Amino acid sequence: MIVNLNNFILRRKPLWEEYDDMLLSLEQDGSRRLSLEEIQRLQTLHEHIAGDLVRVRTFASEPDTIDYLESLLTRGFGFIHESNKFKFQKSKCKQAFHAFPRTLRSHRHAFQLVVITFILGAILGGFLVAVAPDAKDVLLPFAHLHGDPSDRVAMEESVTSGDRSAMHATFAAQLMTHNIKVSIFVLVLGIFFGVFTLVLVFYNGVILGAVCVDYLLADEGIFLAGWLLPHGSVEIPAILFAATGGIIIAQSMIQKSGRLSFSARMRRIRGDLLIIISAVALLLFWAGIIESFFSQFHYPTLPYGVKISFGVLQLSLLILYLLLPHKPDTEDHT
Amino acid sequence: MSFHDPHRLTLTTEDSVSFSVQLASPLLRAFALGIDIMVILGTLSLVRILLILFKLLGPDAYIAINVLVTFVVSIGYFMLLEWIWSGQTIGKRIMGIRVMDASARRLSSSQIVIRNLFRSLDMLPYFYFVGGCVSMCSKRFQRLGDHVADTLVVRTRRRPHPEIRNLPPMKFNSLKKYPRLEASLRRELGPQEAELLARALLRRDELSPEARLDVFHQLASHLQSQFKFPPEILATSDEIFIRNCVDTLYRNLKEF
Repeated sequence: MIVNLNNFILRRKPLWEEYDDMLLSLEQDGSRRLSLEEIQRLQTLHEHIAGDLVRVRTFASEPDTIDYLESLLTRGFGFIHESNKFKFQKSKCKQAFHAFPRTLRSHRHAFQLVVITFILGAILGGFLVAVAPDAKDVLLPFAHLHGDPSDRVAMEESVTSGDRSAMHATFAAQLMTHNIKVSIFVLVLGIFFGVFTLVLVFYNGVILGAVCVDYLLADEGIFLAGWLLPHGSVEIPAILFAATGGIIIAQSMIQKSGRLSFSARMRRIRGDLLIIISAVALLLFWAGIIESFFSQFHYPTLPYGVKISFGVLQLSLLILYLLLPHKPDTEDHT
Repeated sequence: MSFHDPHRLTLTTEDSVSFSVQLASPLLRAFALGIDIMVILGTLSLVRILLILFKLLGPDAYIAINVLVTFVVSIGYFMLLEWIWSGQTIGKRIMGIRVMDASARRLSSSQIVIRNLFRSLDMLPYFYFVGGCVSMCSKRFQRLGDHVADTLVVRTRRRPHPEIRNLPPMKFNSLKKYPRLEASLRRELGPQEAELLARALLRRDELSPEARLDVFHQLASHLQSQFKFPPEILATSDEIFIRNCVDTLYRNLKEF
């Protein structure tokens, strides 16, 4: 009678092996696209194997066969029930262009909270430096900002372009990687209910406010605008966008919309987070290039008017991009 | 989805076919991570040798490209391989584990990116301390990144084809007269218990006569303590009783 199980295994083995081979080829080449016939065959084999598992479980208790069939089903289930796989297509690139402003708008309250926190930090930082100028030694983490702004301006303007161009590619690379790491960190800290994300945003606001007031009080506003605007007009928004991602995570953790579980709520925001982090990485890549190849060159190498105009133009384009009406999403979110 | 064994996750298809997946333990994941870190370091050493050519362009370009390549490889390694190999990296392949969606569907690109971005938090303060603690406290061994991306790491080692068993066919089985009892045996005895009974029968000739009597007596007592058998069934020897039970468990597949 036990020979029946053997017969069963012998009879079904070709189907199991065929399914195993198909899975192996899919696992080894993730980019492989199946033809319609192959998809239909995979589905048919998957159903056969699920049926075989039920039979073995119901009419016998043979652990090796059960284990084998379960391992086949586990491997195949993901291919049969594929979710939205990313494909590089022109239409996708176009959609991505429209997706970021649309995403930001759909989470405008989170973005507003981040901007307000940043502005409050900037006001506090500015106020503290205005009231107690010595406080900047405590507030500002960078030693080169502790001294008199006029001294720094004089020093920067005396440096020739030849001295500066020595290591600017390295500086750009370091800036890009550092800022992207900071942005990722600001975003993932949202998991702690957004508290640390907001603390980081507030602290960055304090630093910026303190630096701005320090330079304005020293009557070095033009230098400040020429130094910060070209890269800051992209870098600061990028970090604020990343922080918005963190607040979106926090919102999903705090707000229980209906009966959705934590996983379901996270699933709803995953696409938005991906769009935000992609945009942030692109903006910071650009900011890194600008900061090292443009921002660090001062008068007389580069007139402040050119630098300020460039920064203002860049900021205006960014605002225009975010405010212009964008095509609605034509794809279903899965 | 439901849990029977804390290390296995049971999934049900839309045809109501359930199958279980073994979750990868934090230790297994740590080994896979160790291999991946070695691969990353090896790749970076190799790339740096190739990048020596950039020294011709000057030290600035060389260092800048080094910084960028280090960053891209360390961040992109996991994302790229998990995307190309459907949830596997080199370390995970070697250890026979795979990342998958918590509902067993294929990973989406957003899941891959998000679970890997959260590595920066999971690896704090050193050697994935946060991620390790979180996964050890999690029922499904998920680190923070897995929780947010709704992913699991499971064991997907390819199993060998099931063996063809050469147990002697049985002509008579007194249990056949009791179909309810047979059904109850099939339903309630776990695969491990059935395997134990079958293996005892297969290896009975290797045992000394005393050991053979003792083993089959223990197995029979175990079954008799779990199920109520009619006196007619128990009138046989322990070995025949176990053979009847094994026949009941492994019979009937040809009818389908």
